[in-house]
Amino acid sequence: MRFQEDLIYIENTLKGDMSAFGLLIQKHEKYAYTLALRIVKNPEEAEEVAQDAFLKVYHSLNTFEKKSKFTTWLYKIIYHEALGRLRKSKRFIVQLEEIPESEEFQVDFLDGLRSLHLEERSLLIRKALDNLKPSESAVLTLFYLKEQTIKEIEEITQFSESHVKILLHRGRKHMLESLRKISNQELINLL
Amino acid sequence: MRNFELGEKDPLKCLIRESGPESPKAGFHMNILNKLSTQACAKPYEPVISSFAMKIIGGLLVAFFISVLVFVPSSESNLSFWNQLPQFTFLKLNLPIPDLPIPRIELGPIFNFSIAIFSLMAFSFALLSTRKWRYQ
Repeated sequence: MRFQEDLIYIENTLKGDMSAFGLLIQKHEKYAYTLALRIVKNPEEAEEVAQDAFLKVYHSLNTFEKKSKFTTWLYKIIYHEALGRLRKSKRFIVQLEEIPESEEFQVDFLDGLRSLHLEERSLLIRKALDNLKPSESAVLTLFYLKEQTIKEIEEITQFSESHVKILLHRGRKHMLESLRKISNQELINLL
Repeated sequence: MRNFELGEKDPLKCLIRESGPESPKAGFHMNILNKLSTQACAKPYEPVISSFAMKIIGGLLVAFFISVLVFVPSSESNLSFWNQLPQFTFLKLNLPIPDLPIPRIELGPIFNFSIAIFSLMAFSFALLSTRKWRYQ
């Protein structure tokens, strides 16, 4: 399905066309849901977060100033909605021990990952992302999957540039460590 | 910190992009649209006849009931309650008021009846107009 520009849907929604808002949701639902899922780590809750965020978007669509991209505004709402949900539930976050970073080890390890089937590899990546802290997995998702710039991530998360870069750096490190642990476990299970 | 500045060569970026976004359950957007439509329909309850109108109707009924009790005799041979009340004679004040020639209008029963009907219709029209404006 080919979608139009966000602004066309927004203008039609503001004129009262609900089907335009439906298309706007359909256009962004996957990334919105993925971002929520990376933070809350639970599919049902992620759906609720994404739905609540879209409802907020609808009710405050007339306040969208069009200075930034619609997606930046949408992800900002989802990010804070998901964090609010986490704060309410006081969820336990998996902490990974700090390990010294080694480029050689990472490259060898990632080459090994490439030899896996696409589906297996995707599953491992998702599991590894689930083991990260919410802010780290959110920043990695925004930066790598949605290709948001550091500036846009600053706007979404309301962190400083240096904070975003630190989160990216730590996120990468923890992600690789988590991947190593998960894939070792998978191999043990296979053997 | 330079790792995330590798761009397309970054292996982690390739892996994350390859895994792609995840999809919510089917009908995700319909759920949101349904929620929005129910929110739009959920207006606070407002009775068709407002409490003010109900008070006026109640007042008219009570006034009618009391007027029947007071002014209508129980049978043709009896007097009404109002006529049974003792006659009061008010003291006449003897004030030195100049005798001004004020004109008196002789109103017949047809004229009085027309005025009463006109007032009733005007009151009904005013009440209906107010209600119409409120719902627009």
